[in-house]
Amino acid sequence: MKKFIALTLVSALALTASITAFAATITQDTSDPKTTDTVITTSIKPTYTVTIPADVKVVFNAETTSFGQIKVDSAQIEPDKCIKVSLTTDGKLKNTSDKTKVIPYTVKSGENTFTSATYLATGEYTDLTLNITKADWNKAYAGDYEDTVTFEVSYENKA
Amino acid sequence: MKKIAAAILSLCIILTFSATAFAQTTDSGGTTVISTVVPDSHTITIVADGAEVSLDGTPGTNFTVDRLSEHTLTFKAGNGKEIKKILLNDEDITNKITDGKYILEGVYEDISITVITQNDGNNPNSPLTGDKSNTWLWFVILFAAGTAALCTKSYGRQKSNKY
Repeated sequence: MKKFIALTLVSALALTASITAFAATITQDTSDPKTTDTVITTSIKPTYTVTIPADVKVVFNAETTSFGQIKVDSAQIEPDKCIKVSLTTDGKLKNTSDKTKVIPYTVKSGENTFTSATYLATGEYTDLTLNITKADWNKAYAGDYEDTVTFEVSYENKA
Repeated sequence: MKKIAAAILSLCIILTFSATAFAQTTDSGGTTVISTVVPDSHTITIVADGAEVSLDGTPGTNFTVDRLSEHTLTFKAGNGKEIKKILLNDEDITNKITDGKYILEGVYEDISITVITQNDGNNPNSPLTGDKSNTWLWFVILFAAGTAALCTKSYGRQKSNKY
């Protein structure tokens, strides 16, 4: 039994043993100086926090409604990487009683429809708006409407 | 001896144990709910001084109608009045009135109707001042005063020529 334990311990030691990296030693025994390079490596994991818009209720007949913003609250990322935030939506508010009745809408950043954006540093943000045309409001049937959009945050190579 | 060896091995394992640190790639995000409520009715408010307005034959000034429902507004000027202009939410719809009627096709918002009337026969471009006095009388008085002034002057000149 003791032999078995000892064997197990030896195996564990062998598997988890790490090789110590000694500092390079320069021996200067002649007038010709010797040099050597020392490579120091470390790995810092990338961290980031992104704020995405909260739930929003659109006022009836409002053609433009603030949808809040996507904001990078903190970011420690690699130089060749970026944080990408993508929006997935079908662009239709569905009547909760009858899904065939819809109100089309668009999510915009400025004048352009928002689909995704990339960020590199803390503090970068994108203001978003929800837009429903007057014509679409005028055609809408009475009732409660709702839609769920998905913001996907990913860590990607810089384009 | 064996115990010492086991203890040393255990110590070595503890000292040399390393935990692998993986880079944390967060592929996450979240969902957001967008909602709105479309009302099932709308109000029609009428302001008409000097005219009567009916909705589907019922006179009144405030109506509540179902959303996207169709209705007929009928306009009738009061005695001695004529309708000058009709505004629907500040849009002039006077030219769209046929036989005193206007069709509201699918009411999709609250509506305000304003009817502007004027007295019959008046120039619609002249503002009403409320002064009912006869202006011709003032012209007669002016003419008489002018004539009297000329006569007085003429009489004075003849009198001075005698001397």
